[in-house]
Amino acid sequence: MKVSDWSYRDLAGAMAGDGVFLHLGPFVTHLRCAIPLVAEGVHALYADYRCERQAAFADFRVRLGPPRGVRRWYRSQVLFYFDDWPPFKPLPYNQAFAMFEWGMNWCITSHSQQHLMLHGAVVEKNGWGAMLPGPPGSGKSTLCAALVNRGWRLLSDELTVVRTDDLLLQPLPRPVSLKNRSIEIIAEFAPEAKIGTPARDTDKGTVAHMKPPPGCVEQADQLATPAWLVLPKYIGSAPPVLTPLAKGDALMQAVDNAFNYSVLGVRGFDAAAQLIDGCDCYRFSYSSLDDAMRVFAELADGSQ
Amino acid sequence: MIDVPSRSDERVADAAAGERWMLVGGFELHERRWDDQYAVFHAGSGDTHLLNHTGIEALRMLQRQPMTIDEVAEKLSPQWVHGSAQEVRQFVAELIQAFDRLGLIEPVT
Amino acid sequence: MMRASSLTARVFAHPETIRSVTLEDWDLLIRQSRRALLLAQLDALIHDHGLADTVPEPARKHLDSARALAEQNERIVHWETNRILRALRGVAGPVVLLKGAAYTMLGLPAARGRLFSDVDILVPKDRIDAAERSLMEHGWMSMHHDAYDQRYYRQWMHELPPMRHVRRRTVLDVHHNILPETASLHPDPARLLEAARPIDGTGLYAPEPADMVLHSATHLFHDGELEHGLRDLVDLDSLLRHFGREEQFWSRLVERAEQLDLMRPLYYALRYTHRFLDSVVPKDVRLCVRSAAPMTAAGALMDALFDRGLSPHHPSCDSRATGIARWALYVRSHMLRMPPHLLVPHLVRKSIRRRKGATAE
Repeated sequence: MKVSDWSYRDLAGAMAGDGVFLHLGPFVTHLRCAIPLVAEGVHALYADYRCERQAAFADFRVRLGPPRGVRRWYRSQVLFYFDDWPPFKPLPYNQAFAMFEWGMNWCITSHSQQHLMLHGAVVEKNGWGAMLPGPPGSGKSTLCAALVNRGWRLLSDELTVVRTDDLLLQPLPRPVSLKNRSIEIIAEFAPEAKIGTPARDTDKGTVAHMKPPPGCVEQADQLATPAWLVLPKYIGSAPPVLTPLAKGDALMQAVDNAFNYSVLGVRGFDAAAQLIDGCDCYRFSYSSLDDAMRVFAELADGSQ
Repeated sequence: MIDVPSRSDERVADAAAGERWMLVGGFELHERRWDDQYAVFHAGSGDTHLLNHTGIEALRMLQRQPMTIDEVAEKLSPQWVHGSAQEVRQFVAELIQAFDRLGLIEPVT
Repeated sequence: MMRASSLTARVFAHPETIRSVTLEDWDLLIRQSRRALLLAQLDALIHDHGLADTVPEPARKHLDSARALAEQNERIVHWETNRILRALRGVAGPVVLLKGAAYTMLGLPAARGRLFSDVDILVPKDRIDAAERSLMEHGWMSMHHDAYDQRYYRQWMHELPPMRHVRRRTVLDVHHNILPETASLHPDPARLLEAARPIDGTGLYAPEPADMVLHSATHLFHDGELEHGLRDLVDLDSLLRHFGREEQFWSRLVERAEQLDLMRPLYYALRYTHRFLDSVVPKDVRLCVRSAAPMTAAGALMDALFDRGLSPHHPSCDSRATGIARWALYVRSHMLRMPPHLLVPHLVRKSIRRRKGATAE
């Protein structure tokens, strides 16, 4: 059963009661939460995901709710519990859905240390993967959101998972996180995109999540072969420029943007070096998304 | 390519005193080369360094046997290092200092 | 008599029972073991007993992830001890590794899959100032800047305030004894140092086997706050199983416990490893340590407390009395570290600061 097969009422009721088992790619999350904002977000943005009342095994047991103690009476807040333990400080109540998203990122990255994980978006075309690593603010999420509305498949907007055994890219399609001006830019660029309720005044400014475009959730078990590593940089009114990047520099960029490079030791080095070996590496500066779409289309055509 | 520190530290004095340096024992180095770029992974620290020809050449010398700064300066291929003997020596002193700071080499006692 | 209050303890006591663990129970086993910091050790246990093919697919990735972290931990210990040795070369005399770092560098089974965040070393007390200075020159900085904390450690504790390396962010505890100056038991650190043995090919030292067991027991039952009680108990069980294969070990263990004034912690160690993990202890050894047992009533109370305190701190292991038991063990651990005229002001200070911390969030 998919989330879209549930009525909002049933979903919210089940989440507030015994919880639901949400299938996110290779992970099953048991989610309990009585906060309408979260139920609405899940109902709208996770529509294509499998969701059940029962499962024998859950990878993550997640609950969102008000903190215990005095605080709940004078300031409305929300805490994210992982297996009954809160890894983060509470956030304002209106950020509950964003906190669910961030908490899920934490669950996945903290418990997938056997893979090489890079901070960055990853999209696919014709079986080939384009990795867009970069720190927050580099514009990778915006670029990723644009690409997946123009025929590229979303593997992830935040987390590039490279399997160290076969160097394939593991899809983890989830709602795409958009910040501040990106929200309007994408709404304008892709009017058909479904964007959830924005959470204002978060640490990252205003944050809203975009529903993964149709198809990518269903194809979450189809791995991609890494073909490109592109370091995007948004520069106001700049023309689109794609510059080749020396492999050694590309390796250092991958290392700098990795979540767990140091965890993997020489296995991480070998994986990263092989990954870079097999990819065309570029820096890419741009200001217009239409230009960027053209450049990426040429990249994809060149690989055929 | 190597992050040569501008700030001097306590061990420059040691280096000047004709001390011999060698790769820290017991930990492997893994290399990957792309043209003039050599990525070096140190199995002890878990750090990855990007070196050029000169850097890797010096590091390999220190992997084979303990050497002083002067010995390294003398043996470096002239094709990669330009300048007077004194300039080369100064460069090698800083290189050794950088290697030391990165935990790649240590003075031999 | 065994009381396996958690699925994790049951599997560690009898690894082959994992064959009958259902997928639902794997869910619980992973959660309990993760909370007890035992997930990677569970993975090692499963591999060592040739049971890897009994792990269901959904559970496997969690063990793989935990194993990657444990392998990183092992590499960090090798590198950190190398760096510590370099910093202390010619300064501190022999550097004796304690606890996890010693198990790792000795390659003991107890080190397999063990997760820990800091390295502990023991140096002679008269060298500790020189050691601290030298470590600071090499990038380790004290983590406590508060004047009260500094004084508390230096006056009463058996170690320097923890130090963190500025670049690598690793934490180092430099000890001059294994219990605080103020504690009710008084092991003589000179004896520990004297008996320490070199670790082949490293330039480092480790306590002799009996002393490692006694230190582990002392830390768990007389010093720690039991947050990872079951993990520490698994350490003890592993050390006993490993060293206990040699017959002389057991008599040496009792002899050292007497010499070091550590009979009580040894009694607890043998009692609770047996109770939780079914460790096998020779009968004459059990009789020998019985003299160190608390009186019957106190013993029953300790059982009630430790049965709760040594279980994973996971909701599935909690009963109504668990919170009280943990609090009682917390107070007990402090009472054993300090006489009341020092303890009360210290606990008051700690709790007042905690409140300040809570409101400042």
